[in-house]
Amino acid sequence: MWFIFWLVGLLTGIAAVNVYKYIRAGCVQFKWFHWLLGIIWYLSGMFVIGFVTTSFAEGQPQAAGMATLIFGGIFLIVSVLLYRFVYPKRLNTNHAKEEATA
Amino acid sequence: MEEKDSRAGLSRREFFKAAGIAGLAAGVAGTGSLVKAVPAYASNDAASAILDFAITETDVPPYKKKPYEGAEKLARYHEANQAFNNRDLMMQEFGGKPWAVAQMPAVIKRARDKVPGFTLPDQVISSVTWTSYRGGGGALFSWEPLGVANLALLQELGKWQGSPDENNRIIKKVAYTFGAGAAGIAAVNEQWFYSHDSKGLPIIFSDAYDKPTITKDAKFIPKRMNRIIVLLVPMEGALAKYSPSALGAGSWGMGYSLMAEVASKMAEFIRGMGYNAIPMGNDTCLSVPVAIDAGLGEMGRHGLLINPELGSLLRIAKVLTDMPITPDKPIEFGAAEFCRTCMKCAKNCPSRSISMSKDPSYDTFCKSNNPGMKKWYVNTWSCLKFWVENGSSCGNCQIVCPYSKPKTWIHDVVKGISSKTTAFNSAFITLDDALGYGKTLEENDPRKWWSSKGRPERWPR
Repeated sequence: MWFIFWLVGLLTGIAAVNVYKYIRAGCVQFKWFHWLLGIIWYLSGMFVIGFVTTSFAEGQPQAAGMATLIFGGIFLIVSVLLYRFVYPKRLNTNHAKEEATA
Repeated sequence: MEEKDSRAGLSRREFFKAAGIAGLAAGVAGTGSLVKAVPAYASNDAASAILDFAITETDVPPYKKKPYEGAEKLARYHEANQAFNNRDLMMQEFGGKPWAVAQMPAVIKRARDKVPGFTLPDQVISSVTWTSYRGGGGALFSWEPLGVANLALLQELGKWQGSPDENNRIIKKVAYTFGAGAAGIAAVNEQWFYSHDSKGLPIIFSDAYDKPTITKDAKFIPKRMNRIIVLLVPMEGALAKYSPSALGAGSWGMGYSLMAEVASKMAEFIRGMGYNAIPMGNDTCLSVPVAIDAGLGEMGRHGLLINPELGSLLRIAKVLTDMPITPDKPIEFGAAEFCRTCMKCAKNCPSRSISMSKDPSYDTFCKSNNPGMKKWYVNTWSCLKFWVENGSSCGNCQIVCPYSKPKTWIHDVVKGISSKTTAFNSAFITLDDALGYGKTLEENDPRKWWSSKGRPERWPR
């Protein structure tokens, strides 16, 4: 169990440093709702991982499976929303930057 | 040579270093959230921070609050009225035989037919797990000292003179050390003591005696024995999930034996400290109301105690004493309200002995019910009749209760939310079913328990 937490922590750290790097480099500018969506995405992802691993540890594979289906579905929807909102923003920003440089 | 990312201003080494530190910090924080905090309720040092948030101390015991009513009107109960001892039930349903004797044909038939969960090894587990409780004729529950405590030392030093607060702490430390899952202390309310024991002996609180005394006419408890230590003993859910089989009943037997061990050790501890002590199992007083008085939970639809940590999967032992101990306050965490919506125990009761009405009522179901209180009465006669026909006891109501879960953050979060609002109770119950919790013998095959390799499964506690 501790390894899962450590791994999740490590990935979170890498992601956080990456976001910081891109913001600092001016590659992307987040608005408040991007942050909100990002936080919801992160928390729902953590919830799914936590629920599934805990359910297995508890000896409840059905709970783990159903949680993947229900909460994993919610996580997937939030992920799609995040992708649709944040990714084009990043592309546009890059594109604008490239145009400005040219 | 270090490759530098000009945009972020971080070298690759710096990047991985930062990520590693952040990861470690997040990992430690994540693990740290699982570490037990010190809660305020009676079961101190046993609950999580989330459960601590769920629990509210109260001056009025929950059985005196809505949806219940009229607890103060209940008369002292005669132990011989209980279904297990009731002569009317015995004559009416069991041909004049004690229920355990009447049960034997079903026990033998199912063992002979090798019905999974009722085979000879299952039946033997079911009976021998009771060894500490029943062994030696219940000797561990003696009102006399067992001669284990060092009384010579006591004579030398005199009785312990700790303050009531200090004694509260000491008793709980000792209780957990002895194997209790939770412990609390209540001031004695004579209303909850049986008027007579199962053999018809009156139980009398009296100033005429310095020590607990049993004569041929009555059982006398000195009035200064005014504190009752309530000890909750966890039952093994990984075994109880085979209820209502003999294998599942092993969980009940283990619980009873642990009750005897914890209560008798506690009584000997108190005697060794220079005070009187009476260890009790299910005898001498009603267990559920004293446990509620001691801040250990609320009463559920099934008439049993629901503890925030152990749910319904527990047994209650008690020790009466004259040691000065500060009593704990009753607690509430929304369990009775949850019961109004849930009904899982009623739906999963094979004998339909648990009320399905949304709200409690004054209606009783059998002569073993103590009338006068608005609550969910349980038909203990039809319940016991099922035990006899089934060839084993049943605890479906305890294992399917949504509060009876292994100790994990998921269940603590649900308990935390349901303690503060009833808005999500229906959703939680639907999810409880969808996620496959609270399964019984119908879905769990006892043969797997016997055939699986390695140690038997245990619930995380």
